[in-house]
Amino acid sequence: MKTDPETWLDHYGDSLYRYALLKTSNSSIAEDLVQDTLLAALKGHASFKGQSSEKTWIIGILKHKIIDHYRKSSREQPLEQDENLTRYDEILFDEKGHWRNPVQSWGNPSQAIDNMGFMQAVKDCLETLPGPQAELFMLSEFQDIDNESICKLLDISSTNNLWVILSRVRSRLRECIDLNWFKPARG
Amino acid sequence: MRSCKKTSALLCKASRSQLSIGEWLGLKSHLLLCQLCRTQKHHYQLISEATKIILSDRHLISHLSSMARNRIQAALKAESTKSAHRNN
Repeated sequence: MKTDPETWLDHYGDSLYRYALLKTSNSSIAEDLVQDTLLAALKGHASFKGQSSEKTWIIGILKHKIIDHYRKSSREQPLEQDENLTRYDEILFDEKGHWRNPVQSWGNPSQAIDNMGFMQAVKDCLETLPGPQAELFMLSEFQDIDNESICKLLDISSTNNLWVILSRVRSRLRECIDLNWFKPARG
Repeated sequence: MRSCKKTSALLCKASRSQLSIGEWLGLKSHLLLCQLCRTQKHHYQLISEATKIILSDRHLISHLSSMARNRIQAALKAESTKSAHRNN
C-alpha cells in the first residue's frame, strides 16, 4: 500500500536513522543517509509496485545508500594506502614483529565493562578514528556482513590484507583506550 | 614461533572466520607462550563487547534530532514542489 510521502518522515524517519546509525556509527552521516533515502524514494515512488511493504522498500533504498557511502569513503581515503596506519606497525612492533612495549592488563574484564569510564573511553576513541578506519572496525563487529563484502565495500584487495589492516585499527583503538582510560585511572 | 605482529592479524581472522588447522595450532601455541598477546586478545574481546553494548544502546534510544528532521522535511518539500512543476 502506498502512503503519502509527506508522512514518511514521521512514520519511518527514526527507524531509518537508527538503522543508518547502527551501520555507520556517525550521527551526521546517518542523518544525511536518511535524507538521501527519502529523496530517492520520493523520486522513485511511481515505480514502487507494492510487491513488498513500503517500509521494506524504503529500507532497501537505505541499504544501497549505505553501500554507496562506504564505496565513496574508501575511494577518498583508501585504507591500503594509509601511511599513518602502516607506520603504526613500526611503533608497536620491532623488526622481528614482537611487541616493542609491554601490553598491560586492564584487570578484571567484567569490571571494565561495568566501568563507566571504560565505556566512555571506548565511545570517545571510536569517534576519534578516521572515517574509513571507524567504518572497517564497525563493519567487522557485525557478523551479518561477510569478509569478501567488507573488502569490496572498502576497496581492500584481499582478505589477508583485511586482517592486517583490521589488526592495526584495533591496536590503534586499544592504544587510545589505554591512554585515555587505563593510564589516567592508575595515575 | 610466529611473530606477535602476525598473531595480531590472526586474532582478527579468528574473530570473523574459521582458521585452518595450521593457523589454529600456531595461534594457540603462540598464545600459550606469549603473555603480551594473551593480554592483547583480552583487550580486543573487551573492546568488541563494549562496542556491541554501545551500538545496541544507540540502536534502542536514538532518534532524529529536530534540526535534522526540519532539514529533511524542507528537502522533501522542495523535491515535491519541483516534481509537481515538472508534471504540470
